[in-house]
Amino acid sequence: MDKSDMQRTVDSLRSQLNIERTPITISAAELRRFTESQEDPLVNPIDKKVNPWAEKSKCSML
Amino acid sequence: MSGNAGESSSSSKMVENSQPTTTEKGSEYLEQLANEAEELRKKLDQERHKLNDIPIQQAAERLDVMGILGVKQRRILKGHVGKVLCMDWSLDKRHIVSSSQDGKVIVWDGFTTNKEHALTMPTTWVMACAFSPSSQMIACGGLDNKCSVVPLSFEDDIIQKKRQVATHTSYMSCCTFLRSDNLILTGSGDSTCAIWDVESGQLIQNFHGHTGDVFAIDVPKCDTGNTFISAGADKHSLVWDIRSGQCVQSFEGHEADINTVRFHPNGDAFATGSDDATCRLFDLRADRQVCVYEKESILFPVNGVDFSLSGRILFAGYGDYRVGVWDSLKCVRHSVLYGHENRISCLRTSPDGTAVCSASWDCTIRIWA
Repeated sequence: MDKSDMQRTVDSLRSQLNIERTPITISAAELRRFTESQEDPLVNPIDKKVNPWAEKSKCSML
Repeated sequence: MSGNAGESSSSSKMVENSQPTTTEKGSEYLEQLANEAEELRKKLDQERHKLNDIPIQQAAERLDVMGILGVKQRRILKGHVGKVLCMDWSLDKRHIVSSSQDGKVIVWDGFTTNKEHALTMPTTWVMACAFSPSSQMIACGGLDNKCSVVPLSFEDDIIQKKRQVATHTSYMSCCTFLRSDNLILTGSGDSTCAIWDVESGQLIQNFHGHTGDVFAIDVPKCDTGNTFISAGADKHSLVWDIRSGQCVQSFEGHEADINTVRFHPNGDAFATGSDDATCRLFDLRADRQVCVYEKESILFPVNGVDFSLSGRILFAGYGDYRVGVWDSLKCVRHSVLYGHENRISCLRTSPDGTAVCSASWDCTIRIWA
């Protein structure tokens, strides 16, 4: 590491030290709330008729 | 990281011996900087530790357990004759681009499994490929140290329209378009990341800070901030400010190379996969690692990770040919998807979250839904 690299590292670390941090109680609760608020077709399977990846039935009623 | 500080001071001493007068001050200054960096790292650790109040699983206690998912293999894309190294979804939620070790790049219609375009790059090991946001263009590269773009059209031989946009001093390991077809973000074995103007091929911003090869990058989906993340051989994940080029956060925890990194869909966390056979979740606001996804029986590297649309599932593609389905909040493995016959190299959830796609050294790409 040369001087400019080291200077950059120190500058970065200085600013990193001063960022605002949130306790995990709060940030984890927000992750959970986000997850609960979203539709998720892989967690709650969608109707076969609208699932673009479901095998289409070969016959249909005329 | 302390090793790096030591290394730099010893290398500066060598310089000192050869040029005693002018560099003596320089090396003293360098040593001062190294000491300061070390002090700052200690303080950072202390600050982060203060906020580690509960394990993330505790916050997820009241969540229902996930039921049976019904996710199974729906499509298999066959056509590569070499190891598939990378794949990316088009935002149209149906097309996929993939690249392989034998130099081929293929654009697929995922619904029909048809190949729509195929091109051969001049060098083998095309380690990275990406679809542009408009789906009108792809980017790819690898051992050629370059990132090239190819506009997609059915009228001409598309290889004739191939243009070089980016050049690194070592292989390009990863690339992604940044918000539009006009900007591309690359990561390289030269331990830097860079943003390039697609039209002019000009370097817009570069990002120095990793101390080893960069293997993975990701941009948040809800792209309001001006940040991206990168990770690689130095076991660190770095968060960057796009405009200033400064590293604004750094995360450690992994015990070996990090091969893959993906933002959580809410943009406040990200997951990584590593040669140490674990996936990890890092929280940007807590500024620390919040979960390790591991099992004693899992010994193989993780080469691809991605979240389901809500973030509840973390999919992980392993060197043991399997896709692990993890409950990201309860931090337990829910199930395993079997199908591939060689190591998985890449894994991505489709933009609408209806499917997950994996690429493998078994020369196939599989779509699970």
